[in-house]
Order: sequence, then structure tokens, then C-alpha cells
Amino acid sequence: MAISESRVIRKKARLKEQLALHSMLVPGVVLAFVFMILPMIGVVMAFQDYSMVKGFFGSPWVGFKYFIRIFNRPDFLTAMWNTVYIALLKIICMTVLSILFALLMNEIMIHPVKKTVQTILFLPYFLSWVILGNIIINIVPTRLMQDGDWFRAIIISTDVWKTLGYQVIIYLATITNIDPTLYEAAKIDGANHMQLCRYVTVPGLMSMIVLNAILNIGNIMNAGFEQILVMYNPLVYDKGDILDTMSYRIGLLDLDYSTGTAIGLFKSVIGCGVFSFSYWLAYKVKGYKIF
Amino acid sequence: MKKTSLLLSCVMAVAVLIGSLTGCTPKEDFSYEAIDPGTLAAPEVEFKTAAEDAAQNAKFREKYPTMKKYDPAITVSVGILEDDKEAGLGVPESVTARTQSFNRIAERELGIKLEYKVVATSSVYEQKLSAAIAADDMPDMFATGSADMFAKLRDDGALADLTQAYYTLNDTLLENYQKYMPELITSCMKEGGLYALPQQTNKYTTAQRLYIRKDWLEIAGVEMPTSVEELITVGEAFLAHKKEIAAATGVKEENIVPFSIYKDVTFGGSYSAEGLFNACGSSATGAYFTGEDGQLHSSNTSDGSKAALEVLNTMYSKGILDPQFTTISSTQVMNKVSAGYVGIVFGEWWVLKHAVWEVVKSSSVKGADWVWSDLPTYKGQQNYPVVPTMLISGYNLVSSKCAHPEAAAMLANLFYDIYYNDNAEKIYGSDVLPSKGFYYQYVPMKIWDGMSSAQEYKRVQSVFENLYEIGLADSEIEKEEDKTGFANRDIFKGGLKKPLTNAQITALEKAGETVYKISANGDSGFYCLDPDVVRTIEKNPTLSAEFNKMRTREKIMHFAEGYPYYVAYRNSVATKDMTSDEREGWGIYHEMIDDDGGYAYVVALAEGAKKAKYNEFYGTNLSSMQVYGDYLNTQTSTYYSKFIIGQEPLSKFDTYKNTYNKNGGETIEKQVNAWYQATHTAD
Amino acid sequence: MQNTCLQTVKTKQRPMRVKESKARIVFLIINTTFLCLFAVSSLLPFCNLLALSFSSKEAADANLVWFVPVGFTLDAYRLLITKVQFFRSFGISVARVVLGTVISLAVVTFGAYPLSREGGVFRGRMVYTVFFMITMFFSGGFIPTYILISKLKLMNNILALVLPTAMNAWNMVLLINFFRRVPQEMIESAKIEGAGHYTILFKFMLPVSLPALATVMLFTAVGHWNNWFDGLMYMDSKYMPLQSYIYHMINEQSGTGNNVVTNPEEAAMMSNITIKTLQSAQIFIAILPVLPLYLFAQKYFIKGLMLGSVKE
Repeated sequence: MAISESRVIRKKARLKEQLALHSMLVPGVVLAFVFMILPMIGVVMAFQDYSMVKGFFGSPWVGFKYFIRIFNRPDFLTAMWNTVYIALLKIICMTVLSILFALLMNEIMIHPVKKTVQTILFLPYFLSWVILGNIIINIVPTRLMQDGDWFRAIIISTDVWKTLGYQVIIYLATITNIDPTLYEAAKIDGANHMQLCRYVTVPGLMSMIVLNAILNIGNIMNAGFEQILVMYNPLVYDKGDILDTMSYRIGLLDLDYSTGTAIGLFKSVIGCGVFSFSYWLAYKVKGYKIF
Repeated sequence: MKKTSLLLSCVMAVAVLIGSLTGCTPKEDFSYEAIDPGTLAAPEVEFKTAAEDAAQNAKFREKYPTMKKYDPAITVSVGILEDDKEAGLGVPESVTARTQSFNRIAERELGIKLEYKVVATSSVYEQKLSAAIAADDMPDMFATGSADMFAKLRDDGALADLTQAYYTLNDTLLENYQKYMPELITSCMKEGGLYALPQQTNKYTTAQRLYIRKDWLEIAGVEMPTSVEELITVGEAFLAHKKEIAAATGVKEENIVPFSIYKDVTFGGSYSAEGLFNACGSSATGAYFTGEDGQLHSSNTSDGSKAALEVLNTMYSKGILDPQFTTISSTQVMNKVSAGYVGIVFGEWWVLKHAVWEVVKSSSVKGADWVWSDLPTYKGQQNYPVVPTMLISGYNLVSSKCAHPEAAAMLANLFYDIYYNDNAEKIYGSDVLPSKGFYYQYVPMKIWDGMSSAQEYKRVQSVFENLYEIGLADSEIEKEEDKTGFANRDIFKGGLKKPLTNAQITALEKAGETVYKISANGDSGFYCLDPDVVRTIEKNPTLSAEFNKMRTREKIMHFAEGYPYYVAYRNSVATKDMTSDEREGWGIYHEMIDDDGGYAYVVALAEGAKKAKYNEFYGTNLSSMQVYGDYLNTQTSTYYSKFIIGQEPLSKFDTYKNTYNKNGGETIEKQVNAWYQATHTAD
Repeated sequence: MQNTCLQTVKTKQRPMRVKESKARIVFLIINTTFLCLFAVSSLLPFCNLLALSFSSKEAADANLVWFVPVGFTLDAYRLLITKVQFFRSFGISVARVVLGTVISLAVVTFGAYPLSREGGVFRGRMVYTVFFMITMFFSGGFIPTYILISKLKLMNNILALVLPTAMNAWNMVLLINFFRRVPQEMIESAKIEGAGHYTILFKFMLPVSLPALATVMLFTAVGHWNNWFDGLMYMDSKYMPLQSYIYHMINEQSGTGNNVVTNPEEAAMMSNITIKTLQSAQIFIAILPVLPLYLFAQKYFIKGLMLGSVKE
């Protein structure tokens, strides 16, 4: 009797505890459901001859017509390739450069200078591309903006420059986190600065590098919509047009919602797949859990 | 991590599905079915204007009153484009579409309460409108510039039949449609119903002309070019005389650009390459012209376009064309023009009161002046500016759910009666004044009088000439009878705008004088047409008779700003020797009054005194264009830009032509011809 | 006890007692100079804006201005103070940032806490996880969102700018990861003392999570400050937030060039030639508020980023 009573009490307590936890999620779930899940009904536009008068429920279904249409566009593969290519190069450059900068900044011995450099490096992160893009177009020689390969280089380098501060901070923090006794031990063994860097700092950073690289792969479909939209010109469409800009031109400018949505949906599906894969990899390799 | 692997396999499945779909070829139908406009239901009483037959008009108006007050009042929801207010009109800053005085007037005079459902700036207006329609929240009345939107709404039965509203329009608007632009009405009809009140537009307003800096020509010692070949020579001369031009105008040498266009080569408009394409017998924007085979062909792949590209390429390689053009927007070209850096541009009639004028009155550029001409010849061949066969710049639409479609015409009439009426203040009270919150751009359901600009041009032009001849500042006549007190140009040197305080204005009005308020001068008063000048004109019956031929608006706008310049101009004073107040009138004079100016050209084209070339496709977007249009446009602009800067040799034009035709160009052309057949057999 | 997780990342200078070699000193000098120069490059866009805003109209139109004002004048700022709309928009932006950040921070924090508990402690965690993950990748696009806002009667309501983005899964992930690193013993002991989850969250979790909260706050605030599209869509021009106003200002006149100007009235509208210096002054003032916010949050920020380290 006593045992079952205590069990009931425990069960009640547990229920109460669970209820408390669930109740905390209510606002988030409600907001996400109303403002994010509900509008997802809009993806049906990709499978309809969408008419604004008939709406989502009245427009005729056409299956994969719009998908076939975009896949048959000669520039679709180009845009797809550009997206992946630019995004991938951005990720690689970003990873390499941010590690390099973190290592170099770690070598600044005057603390206030280090702090200031770090602070300033982060500033461009807060500027929107609408503003920054115009400044860059003014500064960079026109000849280079007209050349597809140079254009890509400019897109990649300016993006790296803009987000560098963000990544550097993460690596710097990791470095300061490395066990100081490791350095002491290495020094006793007679290691110089280069060797300290090579045998202590870099291995200490390694797990963060791998983790970050893997997580970044998830961004492979995001080549930087706003940036390219502001900076591109007709001469570099073949090297600079990405899925996002294409979807924007067709969907929002030409008001062809079905095609625009189809491109967007395609991008989301691939993006989600790659993302899931990279997180799965992060979990397998590093035991990292996002949720 | 079951969840992720599950997700992953889902994604894979979708990817495979999509992959297999890519293999399919879509079977799309690109035939064209003509829309039968039908015939418009005839009015119950035959329409005659009051001038033609007063009695008949009275009968007609009894049946179709242009204004009537709804009792009880009705509520109509509207959509409106709300951009920044024009500076200098004196509309208070706080006035918005929702708070403008027109809302009060409409309710008071017509018993129509306006409810604003979609209010947006022009960058998102169409998007917001289509979203509102999708949300089943379509305003009862709104305007759109998109022919596609109009066609879709009409075909989905979302629009009201406006036949009755059409007959309710006032005499002028109705006569304009019937007499001058019947094709506009036909194109808005389907099976006997009229589904839009199209904006009355003069299609010739899009015609391009050539503008060149006069002072540069003089410095370089060359004549105004009459051919494209000469234009290149002039460009070279500008280049060769950069130093002298810089020294004379005070502009830095490295900034000087003989000829400028902006990056979107296929867009057209002001400061674009369209003028040059037109001169070579083509159009950069993809017009359709009848070929020798009797079929319509796209100008995108025509020989004329190739020729224009060749000219542009020559200009680019010689340094005549702005080397930066591939990255600059039309705004940036405009800024360069007003900063005095550009010698040659193409544009429509109104650029004369735009950047072209800005540089003339600029304080930092010395002695800027322009000459302009019709398009130059190319290889001895005179080509004409390309204009649309039919131009509808906007559609006024009414929802089929609206109980009172004719209220749209009532609102349009009310706007007309306020905007085009000198006595509006007497009839509708002070609410019609900008200072009381009337701003014409925010008025919903307005139809501009498509013929008024032409009449205005002719009226003001003759008044200016007569005033001058009679003796308003003609130095010759002054010597004989020195009565007017406006003996010479000196009186006008300081301009005709005088700031008056509110107290002064009241005093003058009490004394029975008319005060012409031009624009608000803060809260303290208004800039007015110089009361001394007005008084002296009114004293002289010949002058005053002539002066009063102008409408109040014309006195305020054209006379106050333009006449001082006109006097100096007639006295053969060079622009650079004029006072800054006189130069202020350069824009309005050459744009609207000059008989070889901007609007004069539009009128000459419309009256057939000058020739234009017509884009023969004027339908809404065909289905094939929806499928291939975006791709072909990006291809064309990429190739064009590459040809111009020489990244691709022009010998590759055929490669481009093939790519274009293979990837949808041919299909579109077929459908365009089917459309042409259908529309022209229907005629 | 409470600070254990923070101590591990506290910035500590390693004692450098090794005698510096000459090559090392040269390297240090070059390195420091290089990094300083690089940092200066990050400041250039700001300098450019500032210089433009103080330059004469002619110099600005002519692209003569780089990093020093040409033809110094205060005209742009003088004109700016007459722009009532600018200040109204500024006010709306501030209101939006404050309201949006508070709501979002609350929602995200409440959501992150239960999700940071392991599956054994919190049943149904997986369901929520999948639910939120979907929101991270897919979106319905603009039309359905607009329909929703209009059906909820949120047009011209500041809530239309605040609520749709309030639940941000990315920020929640950052917090979840941070909460996870708070030592479990602490929570267990609190539980034994009879504390409920709300008490644990408020009394134990939040005080040690300031860095993460500051990070999320900064991202949310900056996101709200910089967002322009929703303002254009859901608000009348009178109630546009600042960035929408600026976007509108930059893009309005540059148009596509396809403008058909058919009558003098429309031509008059087109003749409003943009004043670049005024634009720069407005943009400059528009980015100013972000700077102190960033400097203030910075000291927490690094720790927060580091521990919740997930990009975005």
C-alpha cells in the first residue's frame, strides 16, 4: 500500500515535472506553428498553376510541371553549379583564413592591441550588403567586375572579409582554452614558437576546425543571395547567377510564383539533405549534437 | 540519430525522383487563342459633347451623371501607390494617402467613403497587391501597371464590367477615348465587357532623341552630328579636347565621359542604349517588326541590333563610351550627367527637365548648355524612334465584388474636376490646396487627361510668343511706347517667384487682387508669382487677355519659371551669361514650351509631322514568354554586354542568335505570329 | 560552483618568460602591423560613409569622395533634421528592436531549457526537435506569410514585424548547447532541495548563461535592426522602420529604367534627383546604434559564441 502510494506520488510529481517542461515550450511551439509551419502550405504553389484569385485550394494541380520546366532551362545547371562552387570556395577560404588569422592574432603580445583588432575585425559583420555592395562597386575597378572569374573572386573575398571576425573569435577563444600546462611542458622540452604553434596550438584547435568545417558544409546551397544581388551585372550572369537570385528574378520580379517557389523548394530540399548529412557526420565523428 | 537518417533517406528519395524527372521533356502548348473583344453595349442616349450638341449632351448626362451623391454613403476600399511626396508643392509632411484631403472631399461631394486596403511604395506595390488578392483581400478599386495582372484577373472573373462607368466619365475623358484612343478600350474588353479604364497615354512619349552638350561642341570645334558615323567623330573630338573642356567647365579631366549609357543594355528608357539601337533600325528591348517575309521577328537577333552593337563596341574601344557602364545604374548615369561629366546621351522628351537641366543650372559646372536632335542616320539610312503600337501605362480596375463599379468613374471625374479646374477652390473649398493636404499622386482612381499636355504645350507656347510680341519685355517695342513698365530683360533677371508672408497675401486678396501661390515657404507664407508683374499685366488689356488664356496651373508652373528664361533667350543671351534665376526656366521652357523642345517632338510624332517606327507586338505576356522569357533576357543582356566590351567578338553574333532561337526564341516567335494573325483577322 | 563553466574560457595570458630572439621580434612587429592594417580596412566602409555625408553634393555625385570629405559641408545633416519621416522610422525601429528582442529572448529561452534536458528527463523531446528542425530549413515564402498576417489583422501593427521571427530555432540551438554545459550536479542538487523547473531556470540557469543570452540578444537585435523586407510589406510608408525607409530611399529612383513617363505629372516625380550625401548621412546614422550595442555585448559575446558554437 505504502509503496504504491509513493509510486502514485512519484508519478504525480513526475507528471508535474513533465508538464512544467512542456509548458515552457508552449509559446515557442505556438509561434513556430502559426508563423512558420502554417505558411509552409505555400509550397503547394510549386505543384500548381497558381492563380492569385483561386488561391492555394482552387488552383489547378500540375504535378511536376514547373520542376521539369526549370530543369530544362539551360542555365539551371549553371546556376546550381555556381551556387555550390561559390559557397564551397567561401567555406574553404573562410576556414583556412580564419585559422590563420586566429593563430596570427594569438601572437600579438600587446593585449589592448589584440583586443582592439578583434573588436574592429567584427564590425563589418553588422553592415548590410545593400550598403557594403555599393561601396565595393565604387572601389573595385570596373574591368574586374566585368570578368566572371574575377567577379567570383571578389564575391568570395569580400564575403570572407566581412565574416572573418566572427570565425576568428571562435578560434581565438578555443586557443585560450588550451591547457597551459601543455605549453609549459613543450617549452621545457625546448620547443620554439613555431613548434609550439605546430605541436600544441594546432592540435588543440583541430577538433574545433573539423567540427566547424563539417557544420559549414551544411551551407553549401547558400552562396550569399543579398551580396550577389547587389553586386552582379549582366556580364557575369554565367559565372555569378545563383539559385537564389534566379528564384528572386522569376518569383518576385516577374510575379511567376509557381516557378519561383519550385526553385526555392528544390534548394530547400537539397540544403536540408546536405545539412542533415553534415550534422550526422558531426555526430559520428565528433559526437556533436546540435539538438 | 534515427531521425536524421530517416530524413536523409527521404531527401535521397526526393532527389532520385527529381533526377528521373529531369529526363522528361515537357509537352507545353504554345498555341494562341484570340480574345474576342466583342462590341461594347451602346449607351441608351447617344453621346455628344456639350460643344457639339448641348441639348443632346444634357440628355446623355441625365442618364449618365458624372457626379452624384450616394445617399446613404457607400464605402469603397482602394489600393494606392504611396511614394515620397514631390518637394516644393507645399504638401504638409504628415499627409499620407489615408489622411489626405481628397478623402474628405469624396465623402462630402460624392458620399463615397474611401478605405485604404493596400498602401505601398512603388518597389513593392505589385507584390503587395498580388499578395492581398491571394489573401482574398482585393481592394474594390485599384490601379496596376502590370498587363499580366489585369489579364489574369479578367480571365478569372475577378473584375467588374465597367461599361456603365465608362459612359459616366466626363465629356473630355470620354471624348479622348472615343476619338483618339479607341484601341485602348478595345484591348481592355472581352466578349462585350469592359474590364478596365486604361490610363490615357500618348505612346509617342517613349520616343528617343539625341542630346549633346552644346558648349563641348563649341570647344571641340565640331558640328552637331547628323549621322551615327559623325557621332563617333564628335565623341573622338570630345576625347581629344578633354583638357580644354575640363578647363572651360571646371570639371576634372579624368571624369569626362563623351557618351554614357547604363548597365542594363536591354532595358531602354532614359540614358540607355535604346536611342542608338533605334538609330540603327532596331530596338534594345526586344521589339517585334515585320520582316520581308511578312512575319514578325524579334529585334533581339536582328541585323540592326548587330549594327548597334558594332557601333557601341567601336565607341567602347575608342574610349568614347563610358568604360564603367557595365556596373552603373541609370541613377548613376543621371548623377554623372548632372555633375557635368557626360557629353552625349539619348533619352525621352522629359529628360530636358531632368539631369540634362540639372547641369545647366548647376553652380559648379560653368557654361553648360545642350543641343538636341532627332535620331541620327546610320549608313545613310534614316531610322525612326521605336514606339509601341499601343501603350497602356496603367489599368484602373474594379473588383467584381464591388457593388458600385460606376463609383470608379465618379472618383475619376472628381479628381479631374479638381486637378484640371482653375475654379476648384471656389467649388470644393480650401481642401483642394496642397497646403491643406491635397496631393495628386495619392488620389485613387485617377485618369490623366491624355490630350491635355499637347493642348497645354500649344497654349502656353502661343501665349509666351504673343506676350513677348505685345511687349512684355521686348526691348524693341519698349522704345516706342514705354507704358508697360517691363521695358527690358532686367525686370525678369531675378525671376518671378517672390516670397510673400501670409499677412501680405491676405492683404492683397482683400484688395481684390489674384495671388498665384507657387509653393509653400515654410509656415510663414508662400512663394508667389510676383504681384507687381501680375498687377501690371492686368492693367494692360491686351497683355491681360493673352495672359489669362493660360490656366492657373500654367501661370504658376510655366510662366513663373519659364518666362524669365524665355525673355533672355529671345534677347539672344547665351545660357551661360544668364542669371541663375533665368537659368531655372531652362528646363520647363525646353521641355514643355519650346517649339523644337521635348513635348513639341511628341506632338509632332502624334500629328504625323514626324515619323516613328512601331513595335508591332503589343499583347500581354504570351505563355511561351513566361516559360522562356527570363532565360532569353539574361542571355541577351549578357551577350550584348560582352559584344560591346569586346569580351566576345561580334563574329559570334550568329552563335548567340542560334542559342537564342534554339532555347525558346523560335517558339516565342511562332506564338507571336499566331497572336498577330489572330488579332489582325479579328479586326 | 556556478562559475565553473565560465572559468574554463576565461582569457588568460600565458606567461611569456622565454627570451625573445631577433627574428621573433621582427615577426611580432610585422605581424602586429599587418593585423592592425587589416583591421583598419574593416573601418574603411564606415569612413567612406562618413566622408560622403560631409561632402558637397557635386563631389559625391562625381564619385570623388573616398575616405576624406571633399568640399566639407553640413548640408546633408541640416537637410536630415527636417526629415520627419526619418526620425519617425528611427523611433519605430527602436521600438521594434526592444519589443522584438524581449519577446524573442523570452520565447527562445523558455524553449531551450526543456530541450537541453536529456530524453530520459524530458519525454517527447524528439518530437519537438523534429518540429523545430523543419522550421530551420523550409519556409512558405512571402505570399502565404502575407496572407497570414493579413488574416490575423496584423497589418500596420508592429507585432507583424516582431512575432513571425520571434521563435528562432538557430538561436535556440545556441542556448540549448550552452545550457547543456551547465554542470548537471548543480541542477540535481537543486532538484533534491525541491526546486521546480521554473525555479531552476530562473535561479540557476539564467545567471550563469549571461554570455549566451547576450549573444542571442545581440543577434536578434541586429537582425531586427537590419531587416527591411517585412517593413516594406506589412507597414504603410508612414510606419516603415528605418531600414525599410533606407532601402526605399536607395532603390526608389534607381528604378529599372523601364519607366514609362507619359505625362508632366509623372515626369515631375522623376525629377527628384537623389542626394547621395543625404543618403550617406541617413545610412551612417542608421548603423550608429548598433555599435554601442555591440561594444556593450562584446565581453559576453565571445564566450557565448564559443560555447554555443554553431554558425548562424
